[in-house]
Amino acid sequence: MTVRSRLIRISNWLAGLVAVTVAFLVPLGYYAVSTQYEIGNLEAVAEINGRIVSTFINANPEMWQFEQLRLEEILTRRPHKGQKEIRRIVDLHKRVIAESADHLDPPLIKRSFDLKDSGVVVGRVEISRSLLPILRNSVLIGALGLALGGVIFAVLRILPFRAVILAENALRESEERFRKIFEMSPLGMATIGLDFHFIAVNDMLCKMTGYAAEELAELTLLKITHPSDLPAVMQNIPKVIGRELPDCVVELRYLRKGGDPFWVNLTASLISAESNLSSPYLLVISKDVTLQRNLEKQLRQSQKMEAVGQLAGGIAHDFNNILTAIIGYASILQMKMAPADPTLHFAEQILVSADKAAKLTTGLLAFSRKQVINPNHVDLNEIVRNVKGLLRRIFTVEIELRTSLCDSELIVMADPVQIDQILLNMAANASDAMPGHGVFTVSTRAVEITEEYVGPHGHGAAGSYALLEVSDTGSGMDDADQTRIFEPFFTTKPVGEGTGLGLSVIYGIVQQHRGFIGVRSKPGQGTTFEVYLPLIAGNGMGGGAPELAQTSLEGSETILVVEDNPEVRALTKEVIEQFGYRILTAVDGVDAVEILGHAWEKVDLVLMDVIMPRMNGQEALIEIRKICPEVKALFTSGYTADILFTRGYAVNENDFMAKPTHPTVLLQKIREMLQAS
Amino acid sequence: MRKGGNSFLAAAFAVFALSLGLPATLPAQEVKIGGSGFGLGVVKILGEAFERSHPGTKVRVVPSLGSTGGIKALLHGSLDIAISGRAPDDAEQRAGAADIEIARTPFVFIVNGKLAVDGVTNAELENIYNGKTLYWPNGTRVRLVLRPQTDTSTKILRSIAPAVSQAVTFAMSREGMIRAITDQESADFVERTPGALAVSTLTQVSAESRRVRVLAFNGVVPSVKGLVNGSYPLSTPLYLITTARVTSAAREFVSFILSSEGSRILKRFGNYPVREERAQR
Repeated sequence: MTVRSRLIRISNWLAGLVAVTVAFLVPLGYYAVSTQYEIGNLEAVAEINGRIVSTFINANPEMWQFEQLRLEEILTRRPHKGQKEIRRIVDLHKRVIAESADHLDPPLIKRSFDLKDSGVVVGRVEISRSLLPILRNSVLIGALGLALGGVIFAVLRILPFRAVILAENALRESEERFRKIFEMSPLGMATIGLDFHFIAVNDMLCKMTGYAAEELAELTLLKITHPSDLPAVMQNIPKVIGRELPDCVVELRYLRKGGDPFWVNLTASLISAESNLSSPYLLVISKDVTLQRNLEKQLRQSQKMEAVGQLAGGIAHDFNNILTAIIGYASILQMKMAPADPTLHFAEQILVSADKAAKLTTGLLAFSRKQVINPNHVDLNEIVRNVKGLLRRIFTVEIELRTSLCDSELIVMADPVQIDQILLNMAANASDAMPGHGVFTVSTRAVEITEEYVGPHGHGAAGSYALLEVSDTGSGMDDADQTRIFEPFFTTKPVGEGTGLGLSVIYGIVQQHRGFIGVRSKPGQGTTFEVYLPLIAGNGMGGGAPELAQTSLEGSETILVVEDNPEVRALTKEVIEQFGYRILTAVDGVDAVEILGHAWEKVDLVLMDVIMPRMNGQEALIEIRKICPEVKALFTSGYTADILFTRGYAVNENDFMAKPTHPTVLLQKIREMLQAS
Repeated sequence: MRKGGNSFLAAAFAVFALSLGLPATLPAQEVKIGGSGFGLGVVKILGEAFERSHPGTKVRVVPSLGSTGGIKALLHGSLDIAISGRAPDDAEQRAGAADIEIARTPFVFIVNGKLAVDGVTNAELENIYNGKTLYWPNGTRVRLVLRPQTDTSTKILRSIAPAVSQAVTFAMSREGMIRAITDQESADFVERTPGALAVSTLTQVSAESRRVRVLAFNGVVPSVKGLVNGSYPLSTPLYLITTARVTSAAREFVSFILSSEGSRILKRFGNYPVREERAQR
């Protein structure tokens, strides 16, 4: 029997008992009280009349029996609204001496009072009334009592029943509310027995684990927990069951139906009912934190790469200045030496080594995104097609090169040279990873990256991308290597076979192109790199980098060289002077403005570093233009465009050159600017 | 006191008889008489007179039984003679009751002796009984003393006028009224109650020496003379009721009442004797 039916049955019994009691007690009580009142009233009336008649008898004790009319006159003295009565005076022989009688319906109730003559009973007064009115009223009240009893029964039956229904409705609503919270929760929720068997699970837990609710009902929490994380479960949850802890929070891995692990934040608390109606159980709330962990991992990786990049960029910048001087002076030396000079070879070796060093710093700058790129609207497919021939030369004949390009154009904002660099670096790595046979595949396609993708992969941002997928069938790598693969100077190659900058450069290039890169690899199963570059919708291809005109390097104009680095300043002055130009120098922007203000000759061009103490190049140019509105300006910097932008300088390809600059390129740029109208 | 006096007389008569050499015997016969209350007073005086002339007969007047009670007691044999204010009805006559009208007495209105009121009229009676007049001219509250519905006095009162009868019916329906069963009780109430008004007879007032004021009715002071000459309209007869079983002593007493001596006594106490009335005719 349910609690509800038990309560209803008890309330029905009580209601019936009260109703029957009321239905019978009310008329019985009325009858008893009324009858008692009537008896008392009759006795009082009989006594009053008896005393009056006795007084009358005492006035004529011998003959009172003959005074019928007068006695009847006494007996008829009644209240106007009194009840119907039979009043009689009888003698000792029960003969009626006088009577005042109304018609009375039986049954009758009678009370009498003795008539005395000097203390001796000579007769009595009898007063009778009908009980019928009381009985009739009792019946009426009985009917009312029954009705009242019925009402009381109904009320007493309905009220508790209603209270039960209300309580049940409230309970049902509460259950419904919590059921919805349970079922619709974005968290995986489950109740499990103390033996870890699932009792109830919500949809999210099913979705997270890939199991149907029926399947989970056959499993235990331990069964879907990653074996490595079982100790964490067994250390904490028993404490909750044993009430040593109110609840526990554990971060562990669940295993999906297919065996894939994913991270959850598990909170378990004991639910124990105060009544003994149900056994205690555990409420387990699981929050999928894979995305969070990946993001954290991504953030850590990003922070690490940023720190490394800062370091590498700073070193490369300083090296650039040094290399600028080495290359500059070596070039001058080379130009001044006769072709037959036996020491010319040394100068040339200096330049070769310096170029290698410059490429190294260029790689570092590329990684640290401090390299100047020349992005344009380009078709990714076209870039791949163009570089395909070059790639084939990298591989041996045992390695097959496959391309699978998207049918439609994949327009991206990219520097084709940099993309070439990506593919060449990857091909080089793949070649090393495939010492024998292998397949190197380059494919492109358009993809739509969603938030669902971003979370699990731990990189990227939602949007439309051109995917450059490069894979090999090489030796692959484990997870640990994958996490470090983009770090500068990290290499899995034998010592001396790799610089450790190849993938770092790729990482930097991709970052500089606002894209992202991912890697999938398993030892022995090859490696796949995914390079995502933002797609440019509806834009056709733009032109490539402008071809430099073949111009003479010499000139006679006056150039103001503004450079805070003394070696670079001296080298630049010396190189340019070699080609007929007149050179003025300034150590910074303030110095440049001052020199121009006092110069007695016209300055045609200002060659100026962007970042300088006191007054930077941009600010100095504004002041210079106030003095010489027609002067031309060419900026140089060891920093990349994005760094310069953060310093308030927007790079314009037409008046900017990145360090280190080869003297020839610099002179060519100077000549080009001076000749421009 | 009167009873005591009678005993004393009987005792004196016995002593006197012994002294005369007569046999010393108590009265051998008793005449027991009773009934309507208004006649008891004068019958008692008549009895005393009769006992004086008939030493061997004792007249015993029982307290008021009313006319009907008196006749009933007579027919039952408890009385020798009944006094009644009415003639026996048919049933009573069939039972053997026979009436002898001995006198008529003025039916009067009496008030408390301290009330300075001399008379009352028909209209005033009507207003008093129907409750419209609640106070006497001096401000005293009018306190009516009612008699039983069946009483002869009530019947006579109702006969004065229909309006008066209606007023009496109204008065009977009022609660808290003074109600007297017997003529004596009624007179007692008037004597002791300020502002009290009741009906009575001239013979009762006279024979019982009531300290009440007898009112003129419609300006006529009640008297035997007024009754005789017809100026006073209200009267009630006084009957003696007997049966065939009447004793000789009772018969002698009746004869005495009807005698000139009896008539003289009757007239003296407010009655107009039938004997004199017949003689005048």
